[in-house]
Amino acid sequence: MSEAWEPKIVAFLCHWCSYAGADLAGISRMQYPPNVRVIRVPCSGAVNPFYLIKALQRGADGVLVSGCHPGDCHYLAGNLVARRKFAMLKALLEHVGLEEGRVQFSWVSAAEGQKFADVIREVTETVRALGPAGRFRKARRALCR
Amino acid sequence: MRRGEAAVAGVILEHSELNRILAHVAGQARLWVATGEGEEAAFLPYRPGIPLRRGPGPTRRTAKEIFFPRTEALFTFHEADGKPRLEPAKVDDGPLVVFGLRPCDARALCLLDPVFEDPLWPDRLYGGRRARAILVGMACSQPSRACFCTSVGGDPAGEEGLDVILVALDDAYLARATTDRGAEWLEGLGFSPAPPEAEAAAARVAETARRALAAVPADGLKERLDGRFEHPVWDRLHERCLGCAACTYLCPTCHCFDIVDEGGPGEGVRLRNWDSCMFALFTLHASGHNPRMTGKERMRQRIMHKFNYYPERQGRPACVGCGRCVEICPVNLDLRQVIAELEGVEA
Amino acid sequence: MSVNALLRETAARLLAEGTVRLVVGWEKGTLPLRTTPLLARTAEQADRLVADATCDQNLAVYLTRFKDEKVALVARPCEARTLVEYCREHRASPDRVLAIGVPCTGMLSRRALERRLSGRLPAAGRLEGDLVICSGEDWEERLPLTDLLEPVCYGCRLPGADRYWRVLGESRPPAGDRYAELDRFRQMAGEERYAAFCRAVERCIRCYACRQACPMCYCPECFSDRSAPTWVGSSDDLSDTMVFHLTRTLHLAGRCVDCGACVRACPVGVDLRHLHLRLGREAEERFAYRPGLDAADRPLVATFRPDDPEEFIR
Repeated sequence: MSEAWEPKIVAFLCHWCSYAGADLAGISRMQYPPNVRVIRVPCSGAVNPFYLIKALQRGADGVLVSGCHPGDCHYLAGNLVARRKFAMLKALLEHVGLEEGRVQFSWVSAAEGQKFADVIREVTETVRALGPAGRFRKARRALCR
Repeated sequence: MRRGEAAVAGVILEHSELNRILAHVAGQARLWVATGEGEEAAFLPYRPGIPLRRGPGPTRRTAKEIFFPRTEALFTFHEADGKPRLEPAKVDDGPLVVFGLRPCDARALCLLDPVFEDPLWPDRLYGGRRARAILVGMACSQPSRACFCTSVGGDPAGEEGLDVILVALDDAYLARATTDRGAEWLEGLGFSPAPPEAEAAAARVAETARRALAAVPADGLKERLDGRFEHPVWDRLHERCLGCAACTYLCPTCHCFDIVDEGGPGEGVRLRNWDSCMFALFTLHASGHNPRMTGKERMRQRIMHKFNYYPERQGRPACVGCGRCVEICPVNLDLRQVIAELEGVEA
Repeated sequence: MSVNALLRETAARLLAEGTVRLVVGWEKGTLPLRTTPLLARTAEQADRLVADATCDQNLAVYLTRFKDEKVALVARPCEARTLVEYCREHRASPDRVLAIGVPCTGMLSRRALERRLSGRLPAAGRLEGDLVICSGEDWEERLPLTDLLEPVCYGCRLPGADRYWRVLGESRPPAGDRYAELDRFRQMAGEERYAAFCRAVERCIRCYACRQACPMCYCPECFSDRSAPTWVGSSDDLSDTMVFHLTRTLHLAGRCVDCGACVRACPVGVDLRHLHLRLGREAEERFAYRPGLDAADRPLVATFRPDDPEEFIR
């Protein structure tokens, strides 16, 4: 990879907390690395683990899911159910060789602009240290076998 | 794919010579060899030291994969100057040798030929690979317990589709060319002519193999299936079937495929992937309607295609009796038993 | 009375009395030492039932296919655990499905036998007590069954007997460490684990025998069959095949009853049981949840506890 490589990170942010937290970070003019591509979702509980696998397959170097703190979920318990799913997803992917740190999770409330900026910085630096993702990645298909 | 008549006397090929010869062949052509045992037995590109298969019956995976791979790119497409551009896949018609396939697998390719080499719509990728391929077969000295090739017109020492056939004798192989192309190929390798007793020994090997094969009542099955599309026999036949494609994907004559496009913005590739009539998705319409709603219709399709529709067009069943589907069915739904049950079908 | 005789009698009675319309069991198969599912609707058919170490499919898979009939299911611990999950997920209720519990001491592994016979295919075979006797034209082998059991049988877990409505005998599965296979895999470094996973997945031909043989894969439409739009590519692309297996494993998180039907169904020897074991152990250690054993709980990933551990969340 050339020196110009920058980690590509897909962040699934819950509409009610983390996305608002990102907004606050922006409004407050906090600096954080521009490596995340944000996808707004209604709830962290709405994030199918399949999305994360697919993101890694299609070129993400890292994936972040961020939702409301436990007890703050707009749908009462979406994030708590998600917590179980993500524990399973992380265990499975790392079992078959995904580097620790490629998939990450956080709770960021609408009031935590600073935490959002910190999380993005930490995630970006972790993924940068890991280098470009190679595993689980779909290769471009050439014509000849 | 008819080839010229050839009447060539056999030659003797010592076991110890085999690796040297294969290395030599690999220098001149793309060489695939039967390798591995049991569920790992398959055709793989030759590399020095690759263990040649010895086990009974056919390889688990078939030789059709060499000519009709599980996935094949047909063309790529991209956008250039605001216009779509297509780049077709290159036809690979270089010299190709397949070593160690059983007569059933060679015969299966002869059954695929009319499908892919139909004069109206010849498939250039399949045809290209077939055009110069030399098939060097290994007669079946020990059929698998699931084999029934003689019941569907095959033979453990059958020559159809092969260019050269090898018969394993006690301490050597008897090699015989069955086509002009095979004769030319064999001549180039330079062997000693076989003594007459080798021919007799080879005949004994084939006879022993023939005797080991079970008989399946497949004679006249096509006629019995005529007009039996709605017969109640289909109601129960499929019940144990799980609806997987193990039987179709490991069948040397199943040849259904799906065409899909894959790609991203501005570019992509059109792929031909294996597909199976045992899947619900196989006949699912865009509207959501599925004309083959249940396992009954799907299993009927598989049986009818092999033993009625294909014979209708090509004059013989699309089954070579290799027994793979029998051996691998997760629930032991045995095609031989299905055939036997259909024998009892009355109007 | 032998287990088979008892089983046939019980099944015949249930059918004759009209208690059930269908008995799902096994009968002798067409290959040596193999059985095939038997869907018996008459007492006469039920007379062909067998239950022994050669029964190696999970029969519960048929319950979701005959969902309008009252069914009796011949059940070993594999099926019993599946029934627990079916009850939990409202796929089968005791008023529709009756279990006939048959004793199991472990399944004969076809792969282990093939390895032991180093490529010779038996033309005939039978079980005699604890011996597997198989023979070809000019050979016979008498092998102890206990050396040839399926890996899933070691440390097999039995749900409470209340799940069996008619118990014909007690199961005595072989003792052992269920997680031995998982521990072996986990000894490798991440890079090696990924390489091993690639090698396994490379063999996969996407015939979906694993999915179809799995009693917990009962979705009317699998994510991998979604075509509008396509969720997973259907080509031989390695990453797509990985996505299929990983997602299937995740869909079985806290649901897999570790019967091993997927591994036995695979025609080309892909063995990904350790993936399911990984999640099974995670469910047990992290959430004290044991699939197939306690029907009272709600499905693992459909619920939560406020104090579920979250050390991995920032």
